[in-house]
Amino acid sequence: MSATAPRLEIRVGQPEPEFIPSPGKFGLRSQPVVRQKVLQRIHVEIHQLGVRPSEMLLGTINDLRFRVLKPIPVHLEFRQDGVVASWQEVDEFGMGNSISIACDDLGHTIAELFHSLAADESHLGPDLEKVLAVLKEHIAHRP
Amino acid sequence: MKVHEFEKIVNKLGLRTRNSGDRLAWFVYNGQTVVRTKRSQGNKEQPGDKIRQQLKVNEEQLAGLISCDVSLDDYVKILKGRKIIAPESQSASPLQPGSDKTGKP
Repeated sequence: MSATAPRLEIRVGQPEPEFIPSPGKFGLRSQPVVRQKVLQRIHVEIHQLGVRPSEMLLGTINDLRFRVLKPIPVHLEFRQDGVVASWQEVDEFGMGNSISIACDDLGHTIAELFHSLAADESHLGPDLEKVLAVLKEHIAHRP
Repeated sequence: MKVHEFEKIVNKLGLRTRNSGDRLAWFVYNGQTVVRTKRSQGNKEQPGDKIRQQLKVNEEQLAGLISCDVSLDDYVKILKGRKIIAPESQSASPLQPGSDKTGKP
C-alpha cells in the first residue's frame, strides 16, 4: 500500500504574517506619540512707525495757470478723519486722506484764492490785501 | 464742524459763495471783501479750527455764530475790533445768501 499521506506543515511558534503599511500611506494606524514639550521664546520687537513730517515745502501746485516762485511752507496735521495741510501765513488749508491729496487740495485752493483775490484786487479788505501780497511772493501766473 | 453748521454761518453772515471743487465763501462788507473761508464738498467733518481762523473769531465767537448768540452786527463789531474791517467803514452791504461772488443769484 503506497498511500501517500498529505504533508502537513505545522508552523509552530511563528505568528501569522501581518501587512505592515509603509509610512505615509493610508491605513497607518495612528499611535499616540509623547513628545517632550519644547518652549520656544518668541522675540517681539515693536518698531515705531516712520516719523511723519509735520512741515514740508510745496514746490508745485496742481494748477497749470500758476507756477511757484518761492516754496510754500506747509504744516501737516494728522487727524482722525484725514490729513490737513495748511499754509499758516495766509490761513489757508487743504484736506485729504493722505499727505499728497491734502497738498493737492491746498494747491487747488491757493490757486482759486489767488485767482479770486487778483480779480477783485481793488475791493479787498486790509487782511486780504496782505494775503494777496503773500500769494504774489510765492506764485505767479504762467506767461 | 459739521456741514450744516458751516452752512448756518454762510446764511447768517450772508456769505457769497462759489463752488469750485470746494465751496468757497466770502464776507463782503461795504463793497470790500474782508474775509474768506471754505469747506470741502461732501459731508465730511470740516476742520473747525481752520475755518475759525479764516473767519477771524475765537472759539466762543464761532460757537455763537453757529448758535444764535453772535449776530451779523456782532460779527462786524468783532472784525472792526480786530482791524479786519477798516474803521471808517460804517454800513454793512446787503448780502444775498446763496448768490455767487459776482452777485449773481
